[in-house]
Amino acid sequence: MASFQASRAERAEDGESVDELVDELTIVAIGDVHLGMRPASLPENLDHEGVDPRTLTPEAALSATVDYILDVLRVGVDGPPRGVDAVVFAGDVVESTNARFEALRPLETAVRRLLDAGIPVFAVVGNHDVEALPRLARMIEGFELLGEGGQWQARLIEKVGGPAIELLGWSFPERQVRGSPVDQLLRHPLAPLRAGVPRIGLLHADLDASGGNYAPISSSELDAAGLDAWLLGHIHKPSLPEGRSREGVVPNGYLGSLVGLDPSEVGPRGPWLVRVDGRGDVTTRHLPIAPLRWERFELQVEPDEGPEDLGDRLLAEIVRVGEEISLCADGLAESVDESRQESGISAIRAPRVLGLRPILVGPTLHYEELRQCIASGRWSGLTRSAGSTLVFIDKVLDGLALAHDLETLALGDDPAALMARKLLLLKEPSKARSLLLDSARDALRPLALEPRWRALDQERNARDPLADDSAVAAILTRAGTETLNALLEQRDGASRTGV
Amino acid sequence: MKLRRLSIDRMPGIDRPFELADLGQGLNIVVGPNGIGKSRVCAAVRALLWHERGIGAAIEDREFSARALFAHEGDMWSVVRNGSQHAWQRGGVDAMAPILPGERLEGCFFLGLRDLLDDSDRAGRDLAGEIRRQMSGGFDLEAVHRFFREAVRARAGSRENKDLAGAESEIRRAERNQEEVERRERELENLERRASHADRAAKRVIEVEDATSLHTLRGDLSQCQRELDEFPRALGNLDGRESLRLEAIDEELHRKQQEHSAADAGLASSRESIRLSRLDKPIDPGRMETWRERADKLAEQERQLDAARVEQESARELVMQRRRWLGSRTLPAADPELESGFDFGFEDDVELFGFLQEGQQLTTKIEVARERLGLLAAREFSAEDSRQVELLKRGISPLREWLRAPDPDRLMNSRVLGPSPRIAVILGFAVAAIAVALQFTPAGGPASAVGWTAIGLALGLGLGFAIAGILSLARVRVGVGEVDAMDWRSIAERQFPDSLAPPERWSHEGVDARLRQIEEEFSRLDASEKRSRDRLVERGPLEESLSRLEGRLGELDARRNALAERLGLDSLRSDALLLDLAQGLFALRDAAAEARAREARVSALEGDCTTLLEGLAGALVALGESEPSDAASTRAGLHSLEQRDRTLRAAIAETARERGQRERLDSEIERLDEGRAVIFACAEIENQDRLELRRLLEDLPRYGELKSACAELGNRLDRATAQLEAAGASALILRSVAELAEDQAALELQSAGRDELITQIAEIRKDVREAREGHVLEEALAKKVATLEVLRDRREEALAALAGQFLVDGVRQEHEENQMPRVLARARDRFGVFTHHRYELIVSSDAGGSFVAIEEKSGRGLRPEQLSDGTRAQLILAARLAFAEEAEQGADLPIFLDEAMDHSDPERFHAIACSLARMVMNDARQVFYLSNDPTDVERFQNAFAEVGCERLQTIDLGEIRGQGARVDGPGELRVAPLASVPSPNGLDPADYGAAIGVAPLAPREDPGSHSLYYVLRGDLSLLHDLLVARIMTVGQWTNLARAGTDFAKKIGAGGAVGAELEARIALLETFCLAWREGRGREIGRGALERSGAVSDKFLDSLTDIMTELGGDASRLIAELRARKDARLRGYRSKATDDLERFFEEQGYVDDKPILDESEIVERALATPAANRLAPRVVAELVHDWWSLSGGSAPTK
Repeated sequence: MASFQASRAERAEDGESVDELVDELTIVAIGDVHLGMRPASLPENLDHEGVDPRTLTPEAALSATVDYILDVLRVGVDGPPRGVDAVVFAGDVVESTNARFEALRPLETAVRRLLDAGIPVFAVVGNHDVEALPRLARMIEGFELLGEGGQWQARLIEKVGGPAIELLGWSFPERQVRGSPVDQLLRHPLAPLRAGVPRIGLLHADLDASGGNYAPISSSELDAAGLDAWLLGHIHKPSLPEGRSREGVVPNGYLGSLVGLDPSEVGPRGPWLVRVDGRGDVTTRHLPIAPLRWERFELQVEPDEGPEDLGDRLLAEIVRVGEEISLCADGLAESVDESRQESGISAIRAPRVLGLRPILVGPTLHYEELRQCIASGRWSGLTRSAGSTLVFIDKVLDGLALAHDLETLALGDDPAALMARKLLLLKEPSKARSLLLDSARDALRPLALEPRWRALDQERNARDPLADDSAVAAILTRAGTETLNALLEQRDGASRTGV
Repeated sequence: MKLRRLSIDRMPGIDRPFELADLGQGLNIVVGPNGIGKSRVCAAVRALLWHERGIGAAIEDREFSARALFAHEGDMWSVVRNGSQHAWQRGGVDAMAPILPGERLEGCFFLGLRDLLDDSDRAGRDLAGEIRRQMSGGFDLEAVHRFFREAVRARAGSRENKDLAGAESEIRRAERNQEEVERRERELENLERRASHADRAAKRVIEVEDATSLHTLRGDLSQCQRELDEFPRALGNLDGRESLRLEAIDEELHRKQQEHSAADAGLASSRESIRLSRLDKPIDPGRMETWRERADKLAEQERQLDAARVEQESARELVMQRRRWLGSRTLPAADPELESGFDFGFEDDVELFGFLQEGQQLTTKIEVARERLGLLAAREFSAEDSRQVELLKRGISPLREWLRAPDPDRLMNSRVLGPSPRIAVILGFAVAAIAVALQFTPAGGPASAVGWTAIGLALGLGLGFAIAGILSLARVRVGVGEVDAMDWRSIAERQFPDSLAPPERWSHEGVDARLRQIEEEFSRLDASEKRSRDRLVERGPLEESLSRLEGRLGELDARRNALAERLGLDSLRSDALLLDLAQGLFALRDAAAEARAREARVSALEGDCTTLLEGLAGALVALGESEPSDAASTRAGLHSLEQRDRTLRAAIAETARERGQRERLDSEIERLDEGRAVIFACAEIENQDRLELRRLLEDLPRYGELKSACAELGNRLDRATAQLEAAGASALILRSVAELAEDQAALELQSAGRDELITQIAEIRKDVREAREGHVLEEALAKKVATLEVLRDRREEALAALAGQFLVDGVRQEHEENQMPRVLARARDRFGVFTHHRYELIVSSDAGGSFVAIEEKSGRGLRPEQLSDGTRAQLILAARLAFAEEAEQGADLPIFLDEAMDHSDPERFHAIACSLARMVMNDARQVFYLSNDPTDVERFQNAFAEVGCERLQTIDLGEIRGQGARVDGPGELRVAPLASVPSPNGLDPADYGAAIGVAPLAPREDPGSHSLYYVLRGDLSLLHDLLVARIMTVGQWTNLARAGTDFAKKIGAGGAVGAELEARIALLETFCLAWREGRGREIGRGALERSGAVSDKFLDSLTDIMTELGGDASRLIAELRARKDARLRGYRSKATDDLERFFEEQGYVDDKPILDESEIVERALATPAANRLAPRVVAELVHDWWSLSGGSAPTK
């Protein structure tokens, strides 16, 4: 195990000046690209709004990343161009079901462009590109796979006259791997290629998953491996900590998808800039340059706000959110590299398209009307422009509450009071709540297991809708609110008719 | 609340008013036969109690009129309803309606036979529902539960799964395609290797063919060469055009020789011209030019000389004229002295001319003076004129007086006109006084000249005014006081002189006109007089001047005489003569001088001419021209010389040209001769051996052909050899023809299939390229992901709905467990009593919310439909009664049982009746039991007696309404005769169909509803028989036939006719089913409304479009997706999806293709029914139905 701390000491002993080591080696790390897929849930009328949906695909995101590497990151203000020393892919570069042809061309194009620019490209194979990536590696000279066949492999990346790192990689040998590759590394460690060189792990695996078919690994294993950083693929939500690594902490985490493939993949997406300086400190920076971004936000509904007013406010809110994200992108652009400002290149761009899922929250006097609007998709697909970003509502989510005081309602002994009590019960953890949730889970389970939903269980990110209490509580709260609203309407209706 | 009296005046089914009076407070048994109006009684009470409870259109049409009297809360309440007018009175005073249970609960108080006989699983459920609501504190938990239950329908997600299956199918298809492409791509290497091998073999075949052809070429070349060698070698030098060239040379030679002769002649001619020019050499052009200039100068000199001579003669003639003129006056005619130089002295000239001038001036002045005097004396003012002036003066005065006299007619009025004389006097004196005062004012001091003048002027003016005023005043006094106006005029008329012509009329106008005439005449004569005086004054100086001039003229005469004497003239003529003489002398002197000048110029010019002429003459004579005498002959000589010079020059040039021409022609002739010789030399024959040349030329074409063939063969041979060598196949050149043939056969075998391989490779590459560049799978995957997203939504919705059910169930259970309602206990008690406690009543949520009767003996729970009719009736009755008690809210309404217990056995009847008796007795409940069975009265009497209740009363409604049971008269019994059915005789099927008014064929409808006409178009007689029996529709006949009625048998249902009819009907059913396939159900506005996917905003638009599209749901969806219709702008695609889902679920959309006529015929022929009919009949029937259904299939 060759830690950077030791290597720095060794190098100092060799008489090498620390100042000479103060330079950076820059890697661009790219997470799950899934070429061959395209984002779901885009509005049908995007092209009417002047946006070609093809510019929002993983293919377009990868092309934009290569542009960014070649056009933006190579620019230097003083001295020679800083450039990128290597580009690494953390697996699942292509979608398994579309890995034969359609995904290859954009990948081939991107890799060739990088290689032509003198930037070496490394990758590990993920569970989705077990077949495609080795084939492509054979087709393109210079495109190097690490750890092919499920065997750890190290590769030294050097910068001329500058520092070097050792890149350790492991690739999926087949679509499903039940064992931990890190455990394999721990049991059969690789000797350092050069003493004192920082070591970065590149791996496609399922972190902290209790078992599973996709190379389950644990954080403790990663820590025990003694590497200076871990760049992971597989989970689409980015989790790699940003900034300079802290003393004694090995940064590890997922690079995330290059572009959000569906509305659940909220938040910024893009490649990562990983810089390793001569002292072995790792600095990471997420570059949210994906052309498409998904977000959710809560919209507090005014109690007396009807559908018409709310519709207008929704549109204003999505513009506001879009503008906020644009401003945030501008801020990032300034922080990533000041030289970009001087060179006139906007390093970080606001997403071209922003898909939003507003969650209507808060008590309302128009519960049924708003619920109907949500259910009918009245606001879905609405678009607005926020600067250069086209913002659209993918779907409005229901987080509404009734404009009644549940505590007061719960004082009675009629069904409405009983329902109010149940809603109150769902709010706070308690034994009664757990019993209710268990009971509900038992009641809902047969439905959830019905064959008609089987397709959902076979999804890439399939999850049990009743797996956790919060999900069941959310379902019960929504249904309970709806029930309580219906009961109160009955009561109000009866009182109106005098019956 | 007790009903005391009920009167029904009008209501549907009640044609005559009747009244139920004196109704009992307990049980009222209303008996009467069916149709007597028992149910109407119930309906009337309902309508009276609940305003909203109408009885259909009767309310609106005011066909309902009834009233009732109730005892309630110690008062009598009357209610009257007339149509929609509804009025209550309490104690005879208008009042609000009493508090009654809600209308929706009215069913609890009116129980019909049908309610009790309902054996469906819904029996009692509505009541149970009400009870459950009651139990739930008024909340309809069942409705909420039902809402969620509908949301958890089993179909949820089926559409998405269908879409998902479609997407996955697309993915699999795309994957299969890609697998296939991949498989073929793997084959590519092998195919390319095979293609390359075949390609090489194919190329080798060509080489072998080339090598084979090489052998052929060699043989052909040898043969050709041998033949060529047999011809003279010289043919190789000829090109076949030699004869033509010889002819051309001969012709050219001949022409050149002719030109040569002409050149010789020209040369001789030019030489002769040189000789004739008599010049040895050409003259220098400079000299010639000089000569021409001199000749021109000579001509000019001669012209000037001639002019000078003419002028000289003119001057001499003038001298002679002057001389002659002078001679005729004073001088001798030909005085040589004078002619040579007559002259005066200068002083003499001055004096003479001064004298002449002075004399002339004097004479002129004198004449002017005399003329002026003459003029002044011409106009004298005579004495007559003076008298006339006086006369006119005398005439003017009276006329003026006459005019000044006031007009008698206006005298009185005119007195006030004009300034008052008194005022003038006063004003005049006032001004004068001011002036005097100013003069003596101390402030004035020494007044300036201007000041004095102003004062004087003011003084004068003032005095003037004063005097004028005084005079006027005086005249006025006279006019007014002494003489009237008429006197003034008469005086004036009398004073007018008689010698003057009076005015034409003594009127103002006449007098005024005459006055002007006279004044004009006077002015004229006055002016004339003044002018006469002026002339007299002017004449004096003039006469004096004339005298002076005449004196000077005398002096002048003296001087003239002196001059004449001094000049020696005999006498001096008059001044004019002297002046003429002087002028003549001057003219003579000038003429003589001019003559002398002209003469000198002539002499000079004559000298110049002679000099020039002599020079020119010398030159001309030297060059052979005659000597010239003047400029003209000189010019002629020069012209001749120029001609000769030009002739010489031209001849010299011609000679040179002709010589050159002759030399050129000589050269060309020589060249032509040489060319001709060359031709013969090339042919290798004697010069000019034209015969031999002709023979050679005849052989030349064949020679040329052979030579070309040899060359071509040689080239081809070289090329083929080179190609083979270049292809590295030179070894083939050495192989024999037989060997090459063997090689070729082998190679052709190897290259077979090459083109197919190339095509296959190209296709694979194309497929690979398309697969790499395409997005087919990507799109299919995206579609799948999108569908999964929707499916996830559906699952969430379903889970939420199920969660809702779960929560509602929990709440209901909790509530029911904790809140047992009184009504259930009441119902349970009643049911126990009714059944002698053999059953216990519960409401079970497990049984769908219905009642369940628990059998005491077995503990078995039975739902209403599982109970016997009587027990079920007891159960429902018990529940109704219990709930009525709970729901009436103190209104204590009567309970109406309309034949409710007809199906109870006597024992149960008795039990129920006893229960009712207890209710009547204990609860003071009024009950109406309506029955058609008079024995029920006795049963109730027994039960009531057993209970000890006496509140029982029987009302015979038949008796009350007996009068109304009779008809009014025969008119009510008359009916219209049955319409006759037209006979088909002579009518074709179409006409007959129209005659019987058949409805259009509508395949969407139930086949049984169609007219029999459509299956019996070919047998109108049978159709007629059936129609006469009022068997109109297919369904009617089918029912009859299946029932095996006698009529059906009579028609032939069991025989061949019936079998064929049955087959036709079956075929119609098949046709209708096939026709509907792919067309879906026709949608209407109601369907759109039910879909929930069409808002009010779009409902009308979509209804219109749907109508335009013939109610075709698929086309409507396609139209919505196309988004082209402006009426659909804003209609969301999500709504379209919902609408499509609704159409699919409701069967409005059928994805199957629409069948055409031939396909329907095929289907019809495949049915068992077709086996009983001839194929032709099947085809005809289908054709008929297809045509009558609207013909061609619509496009989807």
